[in-house]
Amino acid sequence: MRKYLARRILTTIPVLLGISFIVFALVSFAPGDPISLMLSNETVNVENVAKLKAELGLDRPWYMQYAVYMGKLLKGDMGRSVQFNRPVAEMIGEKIGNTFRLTIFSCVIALIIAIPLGVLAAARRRSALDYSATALALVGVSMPSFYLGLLLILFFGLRLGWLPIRGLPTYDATLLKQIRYLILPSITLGSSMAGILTRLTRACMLEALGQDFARTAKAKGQSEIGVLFKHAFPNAFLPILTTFGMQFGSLLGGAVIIETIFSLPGLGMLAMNAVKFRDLPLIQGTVLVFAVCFVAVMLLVDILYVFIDPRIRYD
Amino acid sequence: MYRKAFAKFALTVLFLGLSVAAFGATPRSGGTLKVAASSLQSLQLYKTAANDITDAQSVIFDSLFILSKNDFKPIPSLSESWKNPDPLTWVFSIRKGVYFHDDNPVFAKGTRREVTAEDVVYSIDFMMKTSTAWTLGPVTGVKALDRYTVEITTKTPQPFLVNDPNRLCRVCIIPKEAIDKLGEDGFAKYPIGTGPFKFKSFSPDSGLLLVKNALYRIPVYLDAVEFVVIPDPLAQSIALQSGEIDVIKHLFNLEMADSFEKNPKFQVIKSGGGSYRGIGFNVTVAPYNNPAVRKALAMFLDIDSAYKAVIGDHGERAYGQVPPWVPFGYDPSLKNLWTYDPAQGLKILAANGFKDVNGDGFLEYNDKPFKIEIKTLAGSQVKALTILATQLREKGINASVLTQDTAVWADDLVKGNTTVFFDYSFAGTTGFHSLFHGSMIGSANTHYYNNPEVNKLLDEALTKVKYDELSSLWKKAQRLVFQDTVGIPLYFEFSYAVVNKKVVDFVPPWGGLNLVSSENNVWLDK
Repeated sequence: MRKYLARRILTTIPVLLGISFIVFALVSFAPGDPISLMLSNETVNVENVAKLKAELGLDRPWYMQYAVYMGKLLKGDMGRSVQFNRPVAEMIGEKIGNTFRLTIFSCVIALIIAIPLGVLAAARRRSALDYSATALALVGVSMPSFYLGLLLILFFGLRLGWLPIRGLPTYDATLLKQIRYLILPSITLGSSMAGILTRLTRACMLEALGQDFARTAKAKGQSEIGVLFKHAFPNAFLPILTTFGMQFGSLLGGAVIIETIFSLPGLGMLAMNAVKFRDLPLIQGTVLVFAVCFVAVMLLVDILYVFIDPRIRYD
Repeated sequence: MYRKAFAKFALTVLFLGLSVAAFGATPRSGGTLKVAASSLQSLQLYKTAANDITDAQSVIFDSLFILSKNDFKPIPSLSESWKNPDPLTWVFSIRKGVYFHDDNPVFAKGTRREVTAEDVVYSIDFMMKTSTAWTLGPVTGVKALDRYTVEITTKTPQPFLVNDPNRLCRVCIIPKEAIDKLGEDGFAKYPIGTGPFKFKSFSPDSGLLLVKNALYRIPVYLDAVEFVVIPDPLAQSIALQSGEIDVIKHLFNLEMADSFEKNPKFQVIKSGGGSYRGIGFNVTVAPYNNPAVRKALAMFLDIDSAYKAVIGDHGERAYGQVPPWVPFGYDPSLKNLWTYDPAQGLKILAANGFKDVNGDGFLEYNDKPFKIEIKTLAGSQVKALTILATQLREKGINASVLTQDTAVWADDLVKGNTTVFFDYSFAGTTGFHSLFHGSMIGSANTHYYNNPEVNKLLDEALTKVKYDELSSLWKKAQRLVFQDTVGIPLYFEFSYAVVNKKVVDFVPPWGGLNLVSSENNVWLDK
């Protein structure tokens, strides 16, 4: 297991290097330039902008900038934001907690909805409950998150006034208050995942319930709940877990939009602003953090396999 | 006698009643004003010209003077008075008894320090060294003449130093020891000024909380001001309606102004300023290097119908670049430069190499396909430009609008990778200079226009202290620019703030947000 873990961690290095290179090259070749954006401002201080450009090394060819960037990154320095002239690591540090809270809360909401609904839909196949679950899952998957977010804001925030329309209280936030603020963005972000997992849980459960071991358990007098959760669900859980891991990456990507709609200052909003301004060090920093998170979650999923299915051995 | 006494009493009551009606209710202390901000990533000084950051800073820091809400002329703030003993020298008298905020990492509670001329000198130097967003122009020296007097010398006469919202007015007076102790990054996390509100806490892109400076020279009614970050303009409108915020400083979506106006809970306040919107030409690229072609293209445009269809009463037709709210240079007589005459336009184009050679209904230029692509960034102008492009197409000119990402649009403009583009300016006092002076090619002069005669007039204008002299030169330069049809002025778009009706005495920001000044003092009614 240790060998496996070491090997997996080592393989992430070329993955992250590749991602950083591709992002750096893409942004460098993409049209738009933060210095031009500053210069187009009618009040600009041209001399100081030229100084800043030299200070940040933006007057060098992109591959040299990349080499310098990677050199600094190895020493733990993610560079400084072009727009704000602040350390990128510090800016990411301020935001990452909010994004984690949002994604984890969204995952929890998605799992709370998807697992029971998927299991029940499978247990009551072709019933009203099954059709309702399928319809709900389809709505979750097909409705664009920005649209769902606005609908929720208008209905629960403005019309009913039950929930805040922003994703984060600014000051004196108790845990309960923070959760209240996270409800709408998390439902919005988690709805698609909930839809996918509901459909998948249903399908996997149906397959497991059709297997011999489920029939045997039932024949031996095991209760329906026992058959569902003791025998069928553990066997159906592996593909659900894999999809959950993959979907976590989508949630991180989705946070870019949800954070903007709900004014939630997280990594997504930071990345969005960085892209708007072509703030290369900030774009690079946020993308790398997203990539590390995704790789880490996938690794965690692989490790969890061992605990869930005793047949799996990595050594 | 009783009748006389009663008449006197009735008159007094009437007078008092009228006074209350005329001057409004008595200001009430207390409450937190919640102001929407689109982005508030950092409080670093002078790194960006973003309104939200400068608005927040302008209530923490004092500047030497502010611009009057009535005519945008400078009025005293930290500086009690100033004079211009000779064209190259400005002398500012600093108000006595102004103190930096205390109860912070630099000045412990009760150990506040008085602002002196040395602080002003340090603050101006700091701005000149570090600012990428603003410039002071050719300042050659800043020195303290005594504890309360500062002298600024310039290479050439610089009236814009005081009458431009983006020059000396932007200098925040800061204590040197705070930068020494906290560093630039640290000071941005704990800004210390002399303004009406003191820093309390800041969460980047979430919110900024400022509390009342009880020792400010003008009694502050509000207990606190909170800047609440809501990036999406629609979400800002919803937040105002749901009561999460009290103020939208800049209403991005003009269509919302009408709906807010109809709602008795809110007040829409028209700002004294706004923005210039026009069409610009890169005058170095054929066929736009030919003034006759540019002039002819302008003749195809029914600008009035286009802009009114889009913004209605929220703007006015522009005939030049300088808007009516700038105290000099506005010239409505430029109207005679612009005529809607498509037939004449076609004749001029025909005489300059335009002809429909292949019979597809669109003109070719020198027998080659000709297409106008108006590059713009997103905004209300896209609709107006689309109408104008349609007008051109109807007359046989293949025109379209290309909406770009702001960074791409700016890069294309600055690097000259354009032919026809959306021309935009906050229309501040030096906007006209920035857009058309030859020295600004490579930055704000995206027309690549370099007319020595215009440059000379603008250079001379920058040295004039008296508004009438300045205005005359500005108008001459403006007429030359638009006689050359370097751009086609479309309209000036007004700017609006929307506030909850309980917010009293709010003035939309211009050169900074003034919540407590000699002209206004915001308070919250019940």
